[in-house]
Amino acid sequence: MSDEEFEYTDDSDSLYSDSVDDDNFKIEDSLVKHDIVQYKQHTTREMMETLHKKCTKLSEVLGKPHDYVVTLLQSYKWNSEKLIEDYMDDPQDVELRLGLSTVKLNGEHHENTGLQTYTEEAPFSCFICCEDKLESYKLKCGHEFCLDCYRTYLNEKVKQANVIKCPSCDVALTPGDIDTISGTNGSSVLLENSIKEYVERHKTYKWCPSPDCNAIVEVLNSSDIAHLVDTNQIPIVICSNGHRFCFNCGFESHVPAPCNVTKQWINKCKDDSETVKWITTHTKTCPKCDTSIEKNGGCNHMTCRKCAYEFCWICLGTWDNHNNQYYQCNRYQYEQAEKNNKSAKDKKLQDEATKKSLQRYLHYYNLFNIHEISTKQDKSRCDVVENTVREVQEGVGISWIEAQFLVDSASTLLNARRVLKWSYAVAFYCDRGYSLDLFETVQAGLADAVEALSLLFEISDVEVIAKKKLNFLNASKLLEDRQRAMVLATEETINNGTLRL
Amino acid sequence: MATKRLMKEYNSIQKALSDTQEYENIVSLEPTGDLFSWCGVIRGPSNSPFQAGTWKIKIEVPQNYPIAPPKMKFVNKLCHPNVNFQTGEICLDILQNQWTPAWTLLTTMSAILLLLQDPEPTSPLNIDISNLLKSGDIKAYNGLIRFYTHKYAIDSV
Ligand SMILES: [Zn+2]
Ligand SMILES: [Zn+2]
Ligand SMILES: [Zn+2]
Ligand SMILES: [Zn+2]
Repeated sequence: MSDEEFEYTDDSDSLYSDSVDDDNFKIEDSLVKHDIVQYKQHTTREMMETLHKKCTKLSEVLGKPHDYVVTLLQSYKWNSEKLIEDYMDDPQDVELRLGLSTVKLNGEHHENTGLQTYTEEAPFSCFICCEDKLESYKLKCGHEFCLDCYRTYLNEKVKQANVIKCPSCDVALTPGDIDTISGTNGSSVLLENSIKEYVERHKTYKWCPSPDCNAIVEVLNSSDIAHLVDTNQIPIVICSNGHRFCFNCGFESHVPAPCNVTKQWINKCKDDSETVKWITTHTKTCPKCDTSIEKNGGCNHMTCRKCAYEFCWICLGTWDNHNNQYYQCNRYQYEQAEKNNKSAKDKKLQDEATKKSLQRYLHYYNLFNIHEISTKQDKSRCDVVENTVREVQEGVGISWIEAQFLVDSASTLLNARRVLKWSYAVAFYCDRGYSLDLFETVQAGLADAVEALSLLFEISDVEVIAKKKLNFLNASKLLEDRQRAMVLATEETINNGTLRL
Repeated sequence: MATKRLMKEYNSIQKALSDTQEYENIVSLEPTGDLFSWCGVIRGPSNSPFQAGTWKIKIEVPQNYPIAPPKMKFVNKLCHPNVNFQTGEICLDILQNQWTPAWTLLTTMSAILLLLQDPEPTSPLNIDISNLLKSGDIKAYNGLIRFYTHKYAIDSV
């Protein structure tokens, strides 16, 4: 019986074939056309419950105990169709093969199975530890081991997803055996690991990649994913905890960058990580007075504590240039790079090209990375602000709805900054031309709006925040518009064939 | 947990090695220092290209033995499809995921002896000798093994 026999990709044996309504999770989202991926959100717990329901149904069909069916199905990697097929064919063979046979083993029949107790005078001598013990467990094969050894054995085995066998032969332990021996819910740990394996083996399921989230997404039209990816559409799904990720890449949402751009960009960053390590520092010095400045929030509009000089964290230029017009620091200065390279006359042409391409890469990597760091900083700032407001509210007794705008603004900000971040990966792979000009203009607009909203989250005074509610709402609205424009501009750029991978 | 079991294994090993013919190709199997590191010596089975060779096997026993398998490694070089020629690592299922507490150090040594005569070419650690075996050139296969046996395993222990 090879593993391949258990592989199946059609949805016919989906754990959720008889599950609830489909439309439940079609979350309105201005950014992504959600109907391109039809999916369901699951949690590990919910999947366990569904598995148990499935077992109950099957136990009625087969006329066997629930416990027994769980072990059977687990051996069959939850492929109930294959199990029923084999079982109808030759039940005895299936039972023998899986160590679940109820007929006499080795010609012997062991009646007195389960927990065994002994006395000091006549203790049990355990084969595994060779010590005298008072408690043991006996399976129907007659093999008996002390509880301590059995527990150590189970602790090792539940880490794997396979059915656990007797330490001495092929007889399978049922969930009941496992729970009695472990004294806890050892069997559910095993089941959980088995579900993990199930999810990993099936292309229609994916774990949410967000750290510490163990939500699962099941895609119903998985056969469409390849086509979507080929046509530069991004199969974004949202887990039950609200995390957006790309079902194809199993990675955070990388809108507007298509999957192939994302893959190349990530690989490139991995390869070149040594070269660019120096960029990732969190501190810079004020361009005017040289005071070292640590970046606290996510905003890139910096004010030196010492000399009050306002500058841009990205280009270290004065903020004056950034205030009224669009951000210029997201536009790679080709003319500048051109000049730099021409001055290096003694260098070979090839050297220049390499240098130019490295400079270009560093430029975009720097921007990408700055926004990645800023996202984390934004996140902690938003959390702080939300918590402060909640505390004050609870003290004063205002309803939480009043401050919902903060939660919404925070999520708008985080999403938009992620879009901005990935747009730099797209820019790196773009040829220069008319559409890139458009692209960069829109990008600058988005960067501008991101920083504007981020700056609002630097306010820590709750009263000021409450007064600025309209500012939050307006900044969020603007940001959403510009984010949408960014996605459209990216589509346009890609459709114009400007992408060079 | 392991100490008592290892004591018991130690007693039965000495008995089994001196009393029965079953383990004629296991020259010795003893702890070195404490009970958690052992050394075994096996003899190449007659009627095999390993004949006349002797190999030392270094055994490390984990604290949670026999729940976890012992680590076994050839000390002097052995040319075999499932043994890494440089490091002496052995690819044998019972030393990995097929291990159960029913195995003992002695029966595991027997399993290694069986592996010598019955290689598993689908999971090779020595590609060259594996390919000879797969190509069906038994003459060359035996010849190469005999060559290395004489080079590294005569008077080696
Ligand atoms: Zn024991
Ligand atoms: Zn048994
Ligand atoms: Zn999640
Ligand atoms: Zn993707």
